[in-house]
Amino acid sequence: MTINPKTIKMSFNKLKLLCFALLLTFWSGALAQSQRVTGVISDTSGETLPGVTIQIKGTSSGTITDIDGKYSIVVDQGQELIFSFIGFESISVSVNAQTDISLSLENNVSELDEIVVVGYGTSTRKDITGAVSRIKGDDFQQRTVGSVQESLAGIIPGVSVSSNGGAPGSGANILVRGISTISTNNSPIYVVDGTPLDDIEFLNPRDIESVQVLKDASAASIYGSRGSNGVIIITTKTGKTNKTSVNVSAKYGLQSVARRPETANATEYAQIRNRAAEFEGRTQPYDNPEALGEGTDWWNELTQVAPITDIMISASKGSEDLRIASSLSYFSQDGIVKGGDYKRLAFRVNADYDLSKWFNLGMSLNVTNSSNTNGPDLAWDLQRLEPVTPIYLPDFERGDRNEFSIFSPTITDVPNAMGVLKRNFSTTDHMRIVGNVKANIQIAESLSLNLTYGFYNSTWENNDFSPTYNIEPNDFSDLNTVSRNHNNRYRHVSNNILTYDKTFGNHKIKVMGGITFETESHHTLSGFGNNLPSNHPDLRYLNAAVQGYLAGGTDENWGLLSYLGRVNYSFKEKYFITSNFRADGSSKFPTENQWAFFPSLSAGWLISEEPFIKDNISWIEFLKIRGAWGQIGNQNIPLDARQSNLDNVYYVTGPDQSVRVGVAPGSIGNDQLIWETIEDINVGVDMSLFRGKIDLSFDAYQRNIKDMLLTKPLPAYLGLGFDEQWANVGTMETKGFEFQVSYKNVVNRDLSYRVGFTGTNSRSTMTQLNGQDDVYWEGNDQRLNLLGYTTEGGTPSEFYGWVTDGIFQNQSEIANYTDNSGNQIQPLAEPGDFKFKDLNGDGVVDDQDRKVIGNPEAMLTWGVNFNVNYKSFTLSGLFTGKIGGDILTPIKAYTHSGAGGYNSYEGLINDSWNGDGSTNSQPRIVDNDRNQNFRYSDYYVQDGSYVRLKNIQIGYQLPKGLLKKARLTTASIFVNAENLLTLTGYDGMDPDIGGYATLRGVDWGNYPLPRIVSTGINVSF
Amino acid sequence: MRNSVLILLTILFTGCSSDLLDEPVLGVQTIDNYYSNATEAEYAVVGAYASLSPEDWWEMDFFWLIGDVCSDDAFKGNTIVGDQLDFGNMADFNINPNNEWLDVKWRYSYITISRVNLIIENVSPSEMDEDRAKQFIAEAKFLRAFTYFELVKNFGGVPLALEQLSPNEAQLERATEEQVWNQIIEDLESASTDLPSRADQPANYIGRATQQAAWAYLAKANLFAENWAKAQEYAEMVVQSGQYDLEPDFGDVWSLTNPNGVESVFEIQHNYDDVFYVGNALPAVTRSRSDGGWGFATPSSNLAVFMAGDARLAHTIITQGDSIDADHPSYDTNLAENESGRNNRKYYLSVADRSPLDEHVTNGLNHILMRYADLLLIHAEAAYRNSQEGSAQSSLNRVRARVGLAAITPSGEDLLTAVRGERRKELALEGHRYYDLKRWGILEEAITDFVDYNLNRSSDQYDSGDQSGELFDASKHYLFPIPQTEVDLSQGRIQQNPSY
Repeated sequence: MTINPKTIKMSFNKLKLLCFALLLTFWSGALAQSQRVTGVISDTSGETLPGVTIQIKGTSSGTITDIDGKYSIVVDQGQELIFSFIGFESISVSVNAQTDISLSLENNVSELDEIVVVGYGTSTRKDITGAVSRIKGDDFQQRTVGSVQESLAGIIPGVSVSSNGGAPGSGANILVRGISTISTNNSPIYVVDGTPLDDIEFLNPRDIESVQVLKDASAASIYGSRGSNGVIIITTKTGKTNKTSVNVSAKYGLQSVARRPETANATEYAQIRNRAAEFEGRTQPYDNPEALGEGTDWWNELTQVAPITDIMISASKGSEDLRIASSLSYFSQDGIVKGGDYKRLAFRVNADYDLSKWFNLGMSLNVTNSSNTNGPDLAWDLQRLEPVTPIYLPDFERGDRNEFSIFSPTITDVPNAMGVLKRNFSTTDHMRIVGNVKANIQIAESLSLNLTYGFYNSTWENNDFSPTYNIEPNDFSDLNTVSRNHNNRYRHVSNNILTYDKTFGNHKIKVMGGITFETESHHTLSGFGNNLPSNHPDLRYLNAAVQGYLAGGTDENWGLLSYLGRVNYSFKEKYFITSNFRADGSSKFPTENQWAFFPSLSAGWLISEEPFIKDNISWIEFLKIRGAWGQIGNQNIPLDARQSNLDNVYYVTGPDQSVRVGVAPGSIGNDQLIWETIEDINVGVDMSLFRGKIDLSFDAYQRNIKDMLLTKPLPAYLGLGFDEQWANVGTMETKGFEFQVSYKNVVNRDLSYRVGFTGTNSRSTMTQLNGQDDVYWEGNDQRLNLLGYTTEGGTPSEFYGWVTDGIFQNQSEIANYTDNSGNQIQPLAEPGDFKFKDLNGDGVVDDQDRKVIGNPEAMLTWGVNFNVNYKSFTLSGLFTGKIGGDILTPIKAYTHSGAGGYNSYEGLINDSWNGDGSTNSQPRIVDNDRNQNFRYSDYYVQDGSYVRLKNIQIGYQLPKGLLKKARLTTASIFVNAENLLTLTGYDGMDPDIGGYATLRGVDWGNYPLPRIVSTGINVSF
Repeated sequence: MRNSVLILLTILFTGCSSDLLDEPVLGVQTIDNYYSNATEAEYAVVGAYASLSPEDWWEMDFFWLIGDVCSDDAFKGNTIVGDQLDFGNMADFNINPNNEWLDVKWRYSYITISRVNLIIENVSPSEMDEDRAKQFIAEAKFLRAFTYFELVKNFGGVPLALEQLSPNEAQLERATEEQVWNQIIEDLESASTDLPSRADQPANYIGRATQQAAWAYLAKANLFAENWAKAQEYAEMVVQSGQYDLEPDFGDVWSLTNPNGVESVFEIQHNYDDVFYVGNALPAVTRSRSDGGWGFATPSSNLAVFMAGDARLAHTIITQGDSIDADHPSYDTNLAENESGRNNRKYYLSVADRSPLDEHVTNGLNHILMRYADLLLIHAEAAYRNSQEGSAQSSLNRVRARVGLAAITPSGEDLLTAVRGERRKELALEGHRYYDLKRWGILEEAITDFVDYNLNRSSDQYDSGDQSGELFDASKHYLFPIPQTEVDLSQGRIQQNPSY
């Protein structure tokens, strides 16, 4: 056979083809089976996770994500990739044709192992036996507020937050479990990274990692004499091991008055004055009220839309043994009432270094500078100033008046508010340096020593200037004055704690013992001078004053020495017992009385670990009950409360009438003062159901406060004038409950949501107040006199006054209101006046006919927070509210009477009585009110229930594609509104009224609530 | 390494001492152990005098006007209802127990009482020069008596605090009026033995209490308490001391440049100082609103008519248009806001005499509480009551003679009327009228007549038709109510005055 080369070639080609085809089959089999998959793994907040293990199921191959969270792996189609990482839920994904598998892992640190800071140590949620609440910093980052206190509203059960006046920089008041002391200071103590402080204004809410609130005595007793109002433990953010991040957040918003008081205009004002004259038979002062028109809207002129800015840059980096976090923030808020503003610049750095396996050194430093322009308190005046008076004098009347004198004189004793604003020069600068150094030494395997030295150093300076001016004979000053007040405050805290922690089989025991020293030193200096050469800004300093020099200054020092200890014992991780003990010695009390002891005992049972639950009921993931008892104390009195100081006073004598110095008692001290002690019992339940979908916790408590410290007004015949004296005045009992319920659900990859509901109830009763019939009054108002009524058996600060019973419509009604003998009960009344009830039936309406007419305690203070995530959008917010709780509004004596020339609310002229049958609820307008219609009665009391949409925010996460181009890790923009809506029946400016134990629920109308709409961005690299 | 670190730290911390807990209050002295020597006692006594006029205008000074506005001599003053509304209510006899002026008067009176009680209790003649100690105690007793006089005049019986009480001991009830008068008289009698005579008073003490001042107040207190014989006796002791006389010129009685003059028995001392407020509020408070004043306590035409033709009228009342001094040839009493077109002349200071700064707390005009003319009229009244008409007429005529009025010799009821009338003219607008009308028992009559005059008989272009006084109620207004706060704080121990 002949071999044909062509044939061979063809055969070879065919072979090649065949091989190629075979190869191809194999290859595409491999292609059909294996492919390269890449992706980025992050957590639910968008931060990338390095070190995540990706394993091919059923094999031993795998890889891990790099520093940027990226990975790359070759895998066959149909195989499964398992993504896992410590502390996170593992996820399995089947590989199909996709080449990119990026996802986020969910945190799954068990509730039980969550670390809780408890004061001089830490614990876990599993071990806690007292009433402790914990929230993460993220839970309140979106509030548009300047202070940490304001940001805690409505999210912690047992904690209620109320406004502290509302002016920029004024912060808010926090009450933990209602009132725990009768005196004015109901604030809890704050512990920031181990240092007890009472001023946390230097902290930016965004620097906070977590907040723990020790609510009952068993938890707070470790703080002994300062724990009586609760303890709020704050830990600030630190760097994280092997992570680097840089964050920038910026927010800008506008504030406006949420609800302004509607005041009468000039026409109505004139009609009101005319009506008063008419009822009294005088000539009507205004011929043509209609022609006066609107007049001056004082409220409008002195309030404004004001900006608010909040910017923060933070950076943190961590390696294996060194972690650093730092931040710089700027906050600025102008007041919606003109004249006040607040700015704060804060810098913080936190570092943590493992010098060796057994020695860890940490330090933190905060430097914050805040400055405040202290605006005048105008809100009360703005509601009373008459609209018929223009703000400024017309040009031709100004003559050669200076810039502070060109304002119109006013009709009543309320000064021209614009004049008050323009001559208000008061600034406060406050610099704080707060920090600590700590060393943690692991002496032996179970024994560690923790030494902390914390310091707080503040410099506060207030500068005031008051110019010469002349508006009218009642409103002038011939004398310009200047003053400077300068205070330095130093606080040093040294904590030395030894902890022994060991597990022996089923028994786990932890013993902590320590000594702490605290000192505080307050240095004050003030200088006054007057008669500056002119009002020129460059001369507003003491050096320019020509006379009237007066200086003052002193030191105040205080020390506290304490011994403390704690024992935790648990058996089989199911049964827990804890006992705290603290002995405090305070320099504020006389030597015989300096020491006090505060023990506590609490126990818990983790029922969910019991076999009958664990094995049978799968939907209960965590169920614990706990009970606690403890004692804490209060030593919060001024340093000189126990002694009677002498002041200098002056009189002239002699032919030349020269000034002589004299002395007189300035205060009356009480050398019998003893510590206030609080004892309480708490029972609680915590549970987590359906794999963490539902979390519940409920606490009920009762606390007894003995030997309460209070300044009480005393009969004037003791010679105190208006001063009051500190005394131990009695016993109070506070009972209540609080709860928190939250529900979270992940519907699908795109949609998840979370709702939480917290509620607090607390009722206080004075169980004993000095003598049997003792009554304690507090608060003073020109028209209503004493306001808050505290008596044995009642709630502190009840409202106590007369009871109205409609209006006398005509003379015969007055004549018929008689007692059994036919004597008129209200002989001074005229038609249009209030009828008051003669409660004791003695035929006269006098002091004996008063009773409790209101109670400021709410039945429930609640908050609802919610968070909805849909794809890249987030909707979150907070509702807060109150059910029950009465409010007393003393300004109504001015704004609702039409008397005396003060302005009134809009509509008074039509609402008030003007003839038989016109109205039964608003008396006639008259200046000379012999019936005393506007005495302290139920007319001033209203229910203060409300629902408020405190905060709502819509955020949008920018898509990853865009981010990559800018090399950002996450970026979001948002729109936020604070105090957007309030639903309430209360007719005043804001039903969210605080106060202190003996004077609560009184609406002084001092500052309006701002409604803030803002927008901003959050970016991280 | 571990161990050495540990040892170092242990040493550091156990080395801390516990005088951590020993922190006295700095910068102040306390009552304990005070009053132990003459210097401290002296300071305390000055401190007690200082309480007669505390720093601010409203604390004590303003209340002196009440005696005039709650009578037919003066009105509240300015027509602005909202300006010092409570003061206006007092003037109109629309008086409630929570009127702030009663509260202030009560409180500040008891501040004086507590200061002097501390002195009386703690100053001991054995710790310092005996004579000085006795004098200090005497001055304290004088001030105590003076203050209780003020309290009983206004409120009737009041709690008698005679020693420093601690709050736990605060269980006083109201003493009866008689008990208060007795205490006043007892204190003054005790004080009078140890107070220096005016002639012997050291120069730098001028302005403080003298023996004759104690006698003068004894005369007055006994007169108010209707012990006529004693009243006359003490008045005569003052006269016989020869230390006092009437100012030849009535205009020199109230004068900035004549403090502690020959006619002055006891006055509150004031002066201008640029650091301390030791001034008198009344010159600024009563002056016309067109002249930098506040326009309160404006004199009535009823008084002006009563004083018509009397030389003292020009020194008592400024009427719209009057020529007062070089700066005020035609005085503007600010008619738009002046209830009666008139102002108080006695407290008036010319521009040159006014303090340049913060007038309402720094004017230097001393406030005369007791002067010789007052004492003479007390004597006249007491003598009349003791049926010594000749003696009464003599004192009466001395007062009249000073202003050029002829001597008169009325008898019986006429003499009483003459003395009362003379009292009104002589002491007008010095804070006496309400208390005099009250003790004579003719307050209701006078106020009713005042109202009738204003509404029906007055032809005055400024204040006729003024209704002030219509609300006068004889069943209550002979006494002011005890401040509501005080009643409330006493838990029933302090009973309110009738009908309030």
